[in-house]
Amino acid sequence: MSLSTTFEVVVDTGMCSAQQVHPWWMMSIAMNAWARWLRDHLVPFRELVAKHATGVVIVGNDLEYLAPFTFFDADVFEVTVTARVREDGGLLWFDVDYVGPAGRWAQLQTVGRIVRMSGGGSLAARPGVLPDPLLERFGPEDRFSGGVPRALEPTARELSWSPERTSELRMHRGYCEAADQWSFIELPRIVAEARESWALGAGEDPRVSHGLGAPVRRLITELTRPLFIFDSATVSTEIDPTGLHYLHRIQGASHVHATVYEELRPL
Amino acid sequence: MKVVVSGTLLRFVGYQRETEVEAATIREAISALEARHSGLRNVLRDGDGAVRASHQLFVNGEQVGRNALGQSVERSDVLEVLTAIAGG
Repeated sequence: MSLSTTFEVVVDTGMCSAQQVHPWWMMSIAMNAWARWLRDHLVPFRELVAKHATGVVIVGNDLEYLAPFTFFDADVFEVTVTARVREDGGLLWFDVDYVGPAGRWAQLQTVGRIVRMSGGGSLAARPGVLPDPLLERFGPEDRFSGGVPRALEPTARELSWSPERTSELRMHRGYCEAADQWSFIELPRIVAEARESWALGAGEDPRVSHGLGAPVRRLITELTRPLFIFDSATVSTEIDPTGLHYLHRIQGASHVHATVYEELRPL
Repeated sequence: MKVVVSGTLLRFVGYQRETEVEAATIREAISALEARHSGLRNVLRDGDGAVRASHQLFVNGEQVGRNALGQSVERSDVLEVLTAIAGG
């Protein structure tokens, strides 16, 4: 049986929009869940970085809202996180479940690449593997094989897209985490702003009502390169004819740094 | 020549992304920058003076090896010192 950690979350209005628990908040509490899991089953996050010179860089996640859940649905809900490691110690896979009184209402799968800090105090790093003493704590049932799952590409390929909008983005400090690089937690907010900005300027386009009012049903993110503090990038947004599917690419000077697929639940 | 710094190193150069220095080699350019920012050397280079593996060097957009510190540079050249990834 895989190792898991469960904790209770008290619902407040700041974590919710009118439609749902904010996607960025779902990411944020998931990261806190991973930190709890590390503390409970491996080593505290701070110690992982400071003592073992090891970090985890998120390279992909897939958030799915399975059922409506709003501020008015419960006073509390539970978050359960389970983690597995790739056999070579190079990837960590986290499964997070969000469970309310009526059952599981959302799930998040995330894959993180293990990096090893190169010293000197800047947190600059290179891809690596978990140190053996930590890797040995994972049992056979806590291990997996294979690469990073590619849910985004096949999903996006099934749809037809038209480019609709580009906007400029700068990695201000509020978007960054402790290593002065962007935090994946902020991506749902960045792409939602791109979608809503398009819809606010789209006049009588019939897709506007979805773009402004429909809750997110699924959010798939692939992060291919980091952006660092005060770097600039462009957010390019494509939309399908129904207005329920959005594909956002965050492009730096010469590379795509992330691709985010948003699927909305029809109003 | 111009030295461009970004990524995790930016806070070690006072958030000054671009700096003009006088240098005949990459090593001299880096040393000139380190002379202006006392905390930079330890994060950019290891105890042997080599550029740490987590940083990459580019001259006029072309990547050069971390051991190419003796490579000559011109006044019009641009040296970029980039961070590949950081651990968080």
